[in-house]
Amino acid sequence: MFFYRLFYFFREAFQSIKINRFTHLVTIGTITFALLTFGIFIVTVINLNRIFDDWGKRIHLIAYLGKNTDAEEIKKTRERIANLPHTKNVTYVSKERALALLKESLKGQDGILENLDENPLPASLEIQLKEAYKNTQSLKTFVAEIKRIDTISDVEYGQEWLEKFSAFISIVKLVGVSIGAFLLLATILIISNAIKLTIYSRREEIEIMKLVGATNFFIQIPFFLEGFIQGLCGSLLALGILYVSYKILISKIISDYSLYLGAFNFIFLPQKLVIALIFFGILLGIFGCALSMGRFLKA
Amino acid sequence: MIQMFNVYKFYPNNHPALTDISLHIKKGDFVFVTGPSGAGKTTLIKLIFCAERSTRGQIIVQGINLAKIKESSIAHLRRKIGVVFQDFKLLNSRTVYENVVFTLEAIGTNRREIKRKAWQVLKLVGLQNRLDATPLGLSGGEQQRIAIARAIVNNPIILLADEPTGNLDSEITQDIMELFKSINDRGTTVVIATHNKNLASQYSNKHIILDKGMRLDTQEW
Repeated sequence: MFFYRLFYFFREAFQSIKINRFTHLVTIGTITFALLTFGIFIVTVINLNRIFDDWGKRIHLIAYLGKNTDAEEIKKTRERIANLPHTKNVTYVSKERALALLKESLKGQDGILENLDENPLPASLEIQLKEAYKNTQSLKTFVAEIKRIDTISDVEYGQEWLEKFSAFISIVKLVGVSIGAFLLLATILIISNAIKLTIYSRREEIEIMKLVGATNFFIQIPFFLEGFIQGLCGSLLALGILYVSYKILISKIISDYSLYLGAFNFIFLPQKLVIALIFFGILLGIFGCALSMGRFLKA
Repeated sequence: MIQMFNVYKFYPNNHPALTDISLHIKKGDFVFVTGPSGAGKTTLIKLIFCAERSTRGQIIVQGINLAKIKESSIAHLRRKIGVVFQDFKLLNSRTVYENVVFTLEAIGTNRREIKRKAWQVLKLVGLQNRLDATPLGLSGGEQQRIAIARAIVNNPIILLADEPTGNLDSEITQDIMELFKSINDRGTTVVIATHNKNLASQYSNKHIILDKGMRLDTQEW
């Protein structure tokens, strides 16, 4: 009995899809397009975040010491920083060492440094962070803490660049969410209209079903199955296209920008998000269907 | 079986379709609702299977008060009532067999029952040899037989027919009326709306005569 009913519902749904195949193709195409756009934004944001964190991990901080800091104070400052939980190790770079390093980096052009009356470079402490704290949030709290130390005049860690990159990711997220919301609305409307067309083409059947005593639930099930099938097909298609495009694009990016990206590993959508996207597609299909079914059965 | 007490029906334009109708149709009756076009026959039939709701008054069908029936219970009420229309309301893309089976599938009957019931009823209406034909390839009389088969396949206790012979010639009309009579002989209460008084008189003396939405007769059976 149960299996026969199930068979009946699926048969009715597939029959309807067969009869209204053009409408269904348009709907599946719309779901695919919407989910593909979502997918592109999600993959982009995930990888940008990873690049951001990866660069964050390579960062080390330079804390510049005040001009008149004496050896005792330097020792105390160094110890204080070394005792912070974030710190892996601290290296002292004296004024002289800093100048020597600069000269070395300017090899061949070091003549420009010859006429200096005095060494203008400050002494500094180069700080390396523990792995667990190599992320932008920890970095910010750590920097704030170091800046509170009197003997430290300034801290440098490429903050300007990190902030710009962080802002860029926020913009990408915002654009993604805006376009996503718009597409979501458009998709639901298109699905709802597609189901409305299907309902219209089957209105005589529905009228007779109601006449002979079919419950609204029984009438609705095949339509919800249609929505389910559309959502499933749309999301699987979107994921397929996304995966193939990702593979092609990543191989190109890696070959063209390997110099900048180093050994960075790009990732596709994590399994959880793949499942979420499929569920989301199915929900879209069912919700679009519910929208027109509700209106129709009330009428 | 069917009782109406001071029933009124107004359509949205305030046009009175039925005015102060009371009636009592008993189990196993063979009743005609007669009257000219616009008398309210179709509205009266529609009220019985809840395709319309009365504006005022009480309607009791098989013990159920239709004024108080919930939207969700209407489907279950309709399983006890078969309805036949003048325009047959068949699915022209489906075969004779599928048209009849459609009813049983729609109410969730199991597969074995479906086959048995469909075969039985198609034999009763004389279409057992036309199972694979589609409605448009059949005569008007045969199409009405499909509609009747569909209406009674679920063994309803009431069969309502709204001008069932309106589109048929007199010879076929007689056949269809005989079919209704045989269904009634099996115990089903039959209510037929028709403008044809002669036809009504030929088959039953139980008439509800309507004109301009009002009942003209005062018969009690």
